[in-house]
Amino acid sequence: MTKWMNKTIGELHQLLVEGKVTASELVEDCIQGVLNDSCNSFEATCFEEARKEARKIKEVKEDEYLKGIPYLAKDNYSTKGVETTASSNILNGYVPLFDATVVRKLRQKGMIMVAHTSMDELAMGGTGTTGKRGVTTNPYDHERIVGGSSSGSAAALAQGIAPMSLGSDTGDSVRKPASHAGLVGFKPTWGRISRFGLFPFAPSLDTIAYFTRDVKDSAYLLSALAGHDNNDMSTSYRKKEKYERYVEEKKTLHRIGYFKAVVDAMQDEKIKAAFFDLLEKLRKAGYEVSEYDYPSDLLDALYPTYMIISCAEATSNNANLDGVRFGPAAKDNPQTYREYMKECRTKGFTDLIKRRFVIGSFSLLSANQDEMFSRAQKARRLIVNKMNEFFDSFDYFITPAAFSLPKKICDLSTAWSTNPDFLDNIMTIGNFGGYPSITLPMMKEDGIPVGVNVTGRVFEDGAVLALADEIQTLTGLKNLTAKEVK
Amino acid sequence: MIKVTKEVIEVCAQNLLFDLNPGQADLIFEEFNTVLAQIDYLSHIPHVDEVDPMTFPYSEHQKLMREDRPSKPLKAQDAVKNCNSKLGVQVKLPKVVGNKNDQVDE
Repeated sequence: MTKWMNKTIGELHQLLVEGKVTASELVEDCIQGVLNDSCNSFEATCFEEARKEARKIKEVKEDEYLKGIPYLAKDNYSTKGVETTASSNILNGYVPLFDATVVRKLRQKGMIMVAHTSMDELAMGGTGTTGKRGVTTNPYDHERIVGGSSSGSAAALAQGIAPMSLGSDTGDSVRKPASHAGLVGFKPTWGRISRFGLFPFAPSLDTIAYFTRDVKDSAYLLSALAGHDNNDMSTSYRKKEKYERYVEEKKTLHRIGYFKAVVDAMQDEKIKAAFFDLLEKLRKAGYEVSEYDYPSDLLDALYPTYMIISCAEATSNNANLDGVRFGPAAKDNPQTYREYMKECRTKGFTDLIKRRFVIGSFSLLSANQDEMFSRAQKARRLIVNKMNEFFDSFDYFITPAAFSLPKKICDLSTAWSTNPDFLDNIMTIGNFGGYPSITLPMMKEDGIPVGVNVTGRVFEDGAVLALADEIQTLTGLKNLTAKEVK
Repeated sequence: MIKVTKEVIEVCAQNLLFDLNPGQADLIFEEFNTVLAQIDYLSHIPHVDEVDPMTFPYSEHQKLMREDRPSKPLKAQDAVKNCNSKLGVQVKLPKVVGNKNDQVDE
């Protein structure tokens, strides 16, 4: 067990400012945590570089909130000098020559990366079981998944190995694991943070996202990371803000809505009761909380819309993984460059990835595009239009982030879901519309956490963080770690 | 829409430059039954074909001229650092020119 790393960034910052601990001590503590990980949370480490960075830090001032704080990054963030593979064999040995913008900005703020975390291969999964190093387990119950694709980042934080980890969120890849691991998982507005250097999965949905164990920490991180980047033309030119002020000054908005179809479909009575209990507390705190009748046909469209769009975009975005400029070389004496690439890609991708690419490719064939890819994009527009209508009447959308305990590893299937439950896909709405969306702990059932999710209008990230902080106060569930592991 | 057959699946895989083993192709063929049923579902959503496809989450246009800033390109030695088949600072691949199988328009 770590000595310092089970604290929040805010707590560690205060200790650093007061000189009660040094950055080197924090890094050593984090390294011990990585070495004692019990969930298969890691892909690569950069201990020596981290130690070197920590030694440079002699003093931390009050306004240097992130300086000297160790962190972890999902294995799809390009990091100069650190092997980065997105947990895929096709990128084995790839060492980026540059830092992702997010990594560069955190370095400039004095944060210290200690390791890369495990993930579903190429971020295409939601279980944390498809990366090249095998299954990442849930520290609250090792027989269960922690969720994905940002599985290692979630499992590590829930073990108290670091106070912050980077993930990425294309469907709910940070917000769902945050629920399963009792963490704060924040996906800011699409375009608010540069994705330069993040391995793309489905760029119209991909968002930089991260885990903390305190909402205020997430606000400080957004202040550090937001802003336009000439290397990513999808980043917004809007002025960035001091998001922590929204939390400190409790600058929340007033109207909170939940979907009737969601509460009607909920089966788990304990989760339902906890959700209604939270809504009641919010009412008592002065918020206007009411039900909204979002059309069920659009909710049932969430899964196919997401799967078609994400598979099609992934097929295109991973075309550069050819084994030529990076990744293991072909060894079977190929006679043509096509044979060369085919050998690399055949050996490099797992079955699941190939299946998803074939479906993505089929949906992009010119004869199929109108009926598959374009229709999914049209369904997306209807989903988002209706959600924007919702936001005409409400400031926030609130929902449980999970509707049952995380699945047992032995019960998993990687097949395309034949009868998808819209509840499992409700948070894709946040990606379809680019909305800021945050998950934080709501309750524990049989000792395992379940989260609540809050989503707001695009670029109202501060208001979303402020309400999340209010909820954190109402539930009293802050800085959770899995102290007892089954 | 093109009818899904195992041959079509094989063509997609070849276009994607990887091989499928027979078990994989069978599994994809079975999965397509589900995929197509869900695509059919999307086609029946009211007004779905009355809207434009949505490519990005929201529209935010900004017109400006960026200043040209010179920057240094990668050095050749660095560019091939991650390349596992190379000769000096050049990528080493099977012969391309003059090989019938590698015509671009095939």
